Amino acid sequence: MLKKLFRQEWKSFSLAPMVTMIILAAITLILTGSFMTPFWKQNNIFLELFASLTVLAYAFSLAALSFCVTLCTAVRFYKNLFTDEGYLMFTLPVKTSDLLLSKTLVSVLWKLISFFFTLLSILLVATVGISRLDDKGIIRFFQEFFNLFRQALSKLQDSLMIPVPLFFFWLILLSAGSLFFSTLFIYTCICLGQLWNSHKIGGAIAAYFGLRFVFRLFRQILTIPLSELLSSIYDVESITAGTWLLTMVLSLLVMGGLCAALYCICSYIMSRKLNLD
Amino acid sequence: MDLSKPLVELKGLTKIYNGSKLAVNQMNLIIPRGRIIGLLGPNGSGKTTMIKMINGLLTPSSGNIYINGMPPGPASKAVISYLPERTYLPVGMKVKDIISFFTQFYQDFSIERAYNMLQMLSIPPAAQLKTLSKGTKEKIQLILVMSRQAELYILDEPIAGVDPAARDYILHTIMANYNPQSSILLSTHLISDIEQILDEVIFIRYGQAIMHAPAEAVRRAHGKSVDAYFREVFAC
Repeated sequence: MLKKLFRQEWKSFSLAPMVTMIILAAITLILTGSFMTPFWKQNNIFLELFASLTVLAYAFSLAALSFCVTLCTAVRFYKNLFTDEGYLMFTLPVKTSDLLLSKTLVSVLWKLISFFFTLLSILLVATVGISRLDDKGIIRFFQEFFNLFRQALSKLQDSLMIPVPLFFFWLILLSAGSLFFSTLFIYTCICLGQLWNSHKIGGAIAAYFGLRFVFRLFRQILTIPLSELLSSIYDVESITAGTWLLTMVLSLLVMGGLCAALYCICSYIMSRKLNLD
Repeated sequence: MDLSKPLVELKGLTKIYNGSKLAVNQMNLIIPRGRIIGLLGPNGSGKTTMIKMINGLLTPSSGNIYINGMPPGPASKAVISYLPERTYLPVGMKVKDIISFFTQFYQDFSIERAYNMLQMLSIPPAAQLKTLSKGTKEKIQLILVMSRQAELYILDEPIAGVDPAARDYILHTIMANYNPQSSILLSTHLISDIEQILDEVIFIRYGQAIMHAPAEAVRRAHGKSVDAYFREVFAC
């Protein structure tokens, strides 16, 4: 059933992000296309205005894609489960956990897609833009970029004392965890809002600020003893592989624990505290 | 299907809204198999609340619900076909999309029956749901519900707010498509329109089942129709 729910959710979720992505692609093409024209090198007030507007529209569409995915995550979850559509979804012969998981997976997948699409767009604009400024500029840019990257890697290797691939693997896991966390955070706020007798959207907004405060406090409380613990175990002057490994494992455990806690809260409210109007 | 257990059993079922408003009060009820049962009561008597709890859309404040001996969950939802009193169809879909949706999720859904009923009502499968009138959407929901071979059909106010011709069509659709081994729980306060199809009646007042009896027994015992007796019991 999870597969079927995922397919349905994908179809319903994807329209708005897809349209935003097409708009971003179009503006990216207009911008890169305009780089290839001699417009940029001419002194003409209208061309300058066009260029400024295109760059502004580009910046706006970059932000819009990320905003659109976040908005769809919240709106889809609320509308599909806690308005009249909830009468359809909650009477399906499926587990509540499958409903929650399918929505989470689709949202996380769209966040990944929008991230890579944004990255690709920026890379394209940067590459074409630099190459138009100077014919050899792009080659030099990439040479310098890769030199810097190599230097950064070797410095990272020296300071980390652990294999760099392991470090990047940790970063990827942590980023994936934060994608799940951000989605489940929104879902939890909406679910907590459902516990209010009335003004459920207001309740969700209050839960958002309340939970943010709690997590900030939690981070502060956790960070101070953790850094003291690490400094008592290890000499700060010579951070070892052990320090890194412990930090990596602990951060992953905390991230995993937080995601699991949010998932359990949502699942509990959706199955044991559901009260559709 | 475990025939030794009642189709639906409510034990001390209670629902309190906002900590004080008692909607369903210690309700004990058994819904048998193969019967058409009218759930009758005035507005605000707790019919919809009770139905929503059976369907898992509301959490009871206390008490238990058993469907085929199990609490509401995926297994019970697979055997109950529920028509709520509101329109729940996602507006972004086409008629054929929602039929395909039901086909995917309900093993007992008959796609042929659904398309036959659509054809009878001249509803184009390619129509966008958001372009259809409220009445047409209600008819589509009824088609979806009655195209299943469920063990229990729960129809909450299916004839409220529709014209007499549509009322006849709805009742005809229900009678023509339901599985005789199944039960129908039909909630309404428009009794005269449905009285002739009811096997049993349940009267609900202040969240309690005050009477559960065969319709014919009510008519014989009181010498009047169920509708007339209802008006007497619930006279303001």
